[in-house]
Amino acid sequence: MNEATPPRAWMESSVPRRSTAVVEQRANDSLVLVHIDTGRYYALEGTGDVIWHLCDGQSTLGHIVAAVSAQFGADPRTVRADALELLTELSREGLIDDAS
Amino acid sequence: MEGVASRFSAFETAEGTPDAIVEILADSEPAASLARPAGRSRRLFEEEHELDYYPDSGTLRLVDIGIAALCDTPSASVRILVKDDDARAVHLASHLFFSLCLAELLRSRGRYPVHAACVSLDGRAVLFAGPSGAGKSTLSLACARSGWSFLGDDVVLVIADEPREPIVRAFPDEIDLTQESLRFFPDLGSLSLAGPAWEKRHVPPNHIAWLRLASEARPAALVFPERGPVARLSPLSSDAALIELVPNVVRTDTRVAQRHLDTLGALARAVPAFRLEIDDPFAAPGLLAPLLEGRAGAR
Amino acid sequence: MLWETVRGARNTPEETQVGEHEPNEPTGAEEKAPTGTGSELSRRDFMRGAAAAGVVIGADDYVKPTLKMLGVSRLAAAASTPPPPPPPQESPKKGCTPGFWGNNSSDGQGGGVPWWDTSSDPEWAANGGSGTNPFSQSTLFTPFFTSHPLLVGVTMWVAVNGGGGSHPAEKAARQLVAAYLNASFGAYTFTRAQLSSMWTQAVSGGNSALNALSTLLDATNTGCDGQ
Repeated sequence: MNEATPPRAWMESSVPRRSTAVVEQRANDSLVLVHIDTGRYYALEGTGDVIWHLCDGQSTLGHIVAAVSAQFGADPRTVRADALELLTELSREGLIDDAS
Repeated sequence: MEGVASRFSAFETAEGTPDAIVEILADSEPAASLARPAGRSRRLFEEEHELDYYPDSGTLRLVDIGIAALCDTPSASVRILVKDDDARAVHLASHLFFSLCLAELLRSRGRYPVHAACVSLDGRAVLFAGPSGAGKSTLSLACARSGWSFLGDDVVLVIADEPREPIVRAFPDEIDLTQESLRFFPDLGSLSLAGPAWEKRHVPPNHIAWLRLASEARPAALVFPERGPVARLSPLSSDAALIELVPNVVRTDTRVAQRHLDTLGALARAVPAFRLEIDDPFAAPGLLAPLLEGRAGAR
Repeated sequence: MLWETVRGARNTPEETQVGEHEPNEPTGAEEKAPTGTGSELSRRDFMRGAAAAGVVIGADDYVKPTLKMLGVSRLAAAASTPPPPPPPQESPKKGCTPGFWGNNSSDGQGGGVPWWDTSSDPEWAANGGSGTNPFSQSTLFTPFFTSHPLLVGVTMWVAVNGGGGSHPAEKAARQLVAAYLNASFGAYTFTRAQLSSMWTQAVSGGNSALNALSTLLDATNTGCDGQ
């Protein structure tokens, strides 16, 4: 896609899926993503890297939030809010879509 | 064909079956004669010329006034049709269009172009990477003038077949002479081949008596030059180096683009990176030589 | 499986170790990840998967995820040499000669002279010109256009009248000023940006390039209505 995706509402049952039009490269502190269609390139930092790889087209948002909360010992409400914000940005940039 | 022969006169020739065939043919209606491939397309560029990639067939189609080209990567064949009475189109046929098609074929064979000048000392290379105008070409000439070997002033090829260390292969294209390079190397002015008003002056590197060419080298440092009043080298993290290199990825085939990015990542991890602030290019060799001592090609 | 997905990411060779200490156990009841895919995910599996992906995880390492846009990659490496300016349009618009904009050797001053003798000259638009005149006759050639030693301290008026000499730079500058006025006035073969760029490249190309530019523009400054 060449245009940014309109904002979507992500729900517990949403299944985020990485776009096949994205290539990536791990750096020391971040993950670099390049969108083949748009040419835009990004750095994913913090737990964004982990969440990106959990966007496998099979795991629901709820599952992702629970897994990340448990593993980092973080408040699920915080993780959910942060994950929603990230997914919104990722989908706006055409980097993920919803496989559900 | 003269343009092609002149550009690539410093490249080594080889015998045997060619890896690719490029045809350049005269045609009165190039765009009409080279039909669009079937299937979906992705527009990669549309300012002075149009550049479309057709992922279903792995084909690149380039069009400008008086010229059209089709690069069929799977069959390694390129067809360039040009109105031969159009001097600008003829120039594009041997230069930009030829370059874009060649780069696509090279990428499909695991040789990834990087926008960088490159010089080496005892087989260990410094790559001057970064956008046009940063002084890469002049820096590479200054190092070559002080005895370093020269691999290219604008683009070189990087190969990183892990687990092997990356290597750099030369791309000794014509050297475009900027005003700056003519200022520091006035002798090159007399060697240069001038063309139409809009064409930069250029000189084939093998026409420069004091330039010694090398065909390949191990990268030992990545240097990102900037203008600065005091010559200074500052370390750059590998993350920052990778980010600087990302624009080299060309967005045609996704798998090839991933491997191109993998190669840039391997290069950024394999060698130390630096910002070089400099005003006098002749200070570069003395500043950079210590980087090549000790381990080569590894952090 | 979640952890298998994490393991599918690319490794950084020096970043495969997991944090030295086990993450803190959550307070309260033991929690396990709910089974969105029908299979249980253990923390150990997750840590193994994260490690294989080169992600360092520790108990206090929850950092808000962020996506930072770094730039737009274009045709970088392969197109590093800028292409030459586009050719004339399909129906090229010819423009007025330097003699129209300056001194006309046979008829005195050319018809266009009064249209740009001041800044924002009202006669420019009154005679059909688009916008306003890009410069006036007293505007200095340099630095409006890239500097050439022979054109430093020279006004546009002097330049369009040939600068008093037959040096390639003076001949090209004469045609350039006329061309720029033409491009500003209405439809013309080249745009103003192209003309500026062509001049810059001709200056760096030397006399032969300047002669070539002069010839090129002479061919498109062959005459207009009013001449």
